[in-house]
Amino acid sequence: MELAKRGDVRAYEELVERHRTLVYRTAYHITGSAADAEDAAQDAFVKAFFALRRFRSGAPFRPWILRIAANEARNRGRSARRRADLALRAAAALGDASAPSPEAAALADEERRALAAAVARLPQRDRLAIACRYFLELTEAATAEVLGVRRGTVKSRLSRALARLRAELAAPEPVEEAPRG
Amino acid sequence: MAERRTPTDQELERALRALGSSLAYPPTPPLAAPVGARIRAGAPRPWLVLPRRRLVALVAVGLLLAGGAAVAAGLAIGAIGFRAVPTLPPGTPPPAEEGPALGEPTTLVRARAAVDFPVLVPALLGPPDRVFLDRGPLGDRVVLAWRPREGLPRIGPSPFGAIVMEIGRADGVGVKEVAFKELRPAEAPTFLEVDGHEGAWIRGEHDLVLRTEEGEVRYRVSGRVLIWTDGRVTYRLETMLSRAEALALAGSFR
Repeated sequence: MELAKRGDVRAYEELVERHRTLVYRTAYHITGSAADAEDAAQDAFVKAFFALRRFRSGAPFRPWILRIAANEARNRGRSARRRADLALRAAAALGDASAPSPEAAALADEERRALAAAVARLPQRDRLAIACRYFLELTEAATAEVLGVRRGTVKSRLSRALARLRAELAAPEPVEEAPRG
Repeated sequence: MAERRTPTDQELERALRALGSSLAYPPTPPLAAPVGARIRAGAPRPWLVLPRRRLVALVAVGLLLAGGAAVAAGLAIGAIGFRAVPTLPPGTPPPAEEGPALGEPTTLVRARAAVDFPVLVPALLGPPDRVFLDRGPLGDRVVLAWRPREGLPRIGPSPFGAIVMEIGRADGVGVKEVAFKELRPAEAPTFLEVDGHEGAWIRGEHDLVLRTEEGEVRYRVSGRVLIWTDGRVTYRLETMLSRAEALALAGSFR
C-alpha cells in the first residue's frame, strides 16, 4: 500500500488483484450488467490510484475503493438500477446448476429459489443492502460506504429488508391474496 | 396449502449468506493489467482527479427554479451566464470548421502546456479531432471538437458531433463571465447537479456569445448543452445526445 502510494504501479496492480473480485461484484450488484460493472471497477481503480496521495496512511483500502467503485457503478445509467442482478434472477428461476458450496448445500433448492425471488423483488436500495451485507459479507462500515449512507441507516435498511423478506417467505404461495371462505 | 413457518432473523441471515455463496456471478475480468496500463499511459495526473475535481455525473436533481425566473435572475454557471431574450437575432451563424468562436487551432499537447488548468477529455469520446485555444483577458478557453460518427450525430449545421469548451479562471480574479447564452423563455435551462457541482442542461436553440481576444463572437447553438463548473474551470459540452448520455459523457472527463 505504501509503495503504491509512492507511485509504484506494480505494487498497485497487486492491490488491484487482491480486491478486484469484491469490487467487481459490488459494482455488478449496482449496475446489474457485467459490462458496466467491469467499466466501473476499472475506472474506480484508476481514479483511486491517482487519489492515493490523499488517502490516509493506515486506513483500510477496501471500504475506500468500494465507495469509489459504487459511485462509478451508480453513474453507469439509471436504467440499469432497475434490473435485479442476473445472478439473483438466475438463482430464483433455476436454482444454481454449479456445485454448491457446503453452506449453499445446507439450503434446499426450493428454499433458495424462494429466497432469491423474494430478494429480487425488494426495492433496489434494500436489495443492495442485503447483497453487500450477506452476499458479499461486507462489514456494516463498508456497506455504509457502498450505499453512501451512515451506519445507522444501514442497520435500519437491513432490518426493514429482513422484515419484508420474512413476510414474503411466510406468506402462502401464490403471494396474491387467496379468496377466503 | 400450509402456511410456511416464519424464519427467525438468524435463520434468515444464515440463509442469505448461503444464497450469496451459491450465486453465479459472472467471472471477474482481469483488472490489474488494464488498470496498470492506463496508469502507465499517464491518464490523468494526480492532481486532476482529487475528489473535488471528479466530474462524475450524478443524477439530475431537477429544477431549482422555474426556468424563466432563473434566466431573469441573471444566473450563471461558472464563467457562462444566461440572458433572457424575447427572440434570437436573425442570421447568427452556426459554428464553422474554424474561426474565432472556437479559437486558434492547436493540438491537445500544446493546449495543455499553454493553460494553467487541467484540460480534461471525455474518455467515452476518445481523443478530439480538433483542438482550439483562445487566450482571452478573463481566462483561457480550450475547445475540443469531434466529427460526427456512429452514435455521435452531427450537431445541426455544424461540422461537429461534439464540442467541448473548457474555460479556466484567470489567476487572481474571481469567476468572470467569459461567455453568455441568450435564451428565449421557452428554452430556459434546467439546473442540475454534476457530481455535486452546479450545472445546467439546455435543450433548445439559443445563441452563445463569447468574449474572445477579438471581441464578442456569437454563434447559434442548435445542439443540446450541458454546462457545469468545479469552481475553477467551467465545462460546456454540446452534442445532439440525450441528457442521460450527456451526463454519462461528463462522467468520463479525465
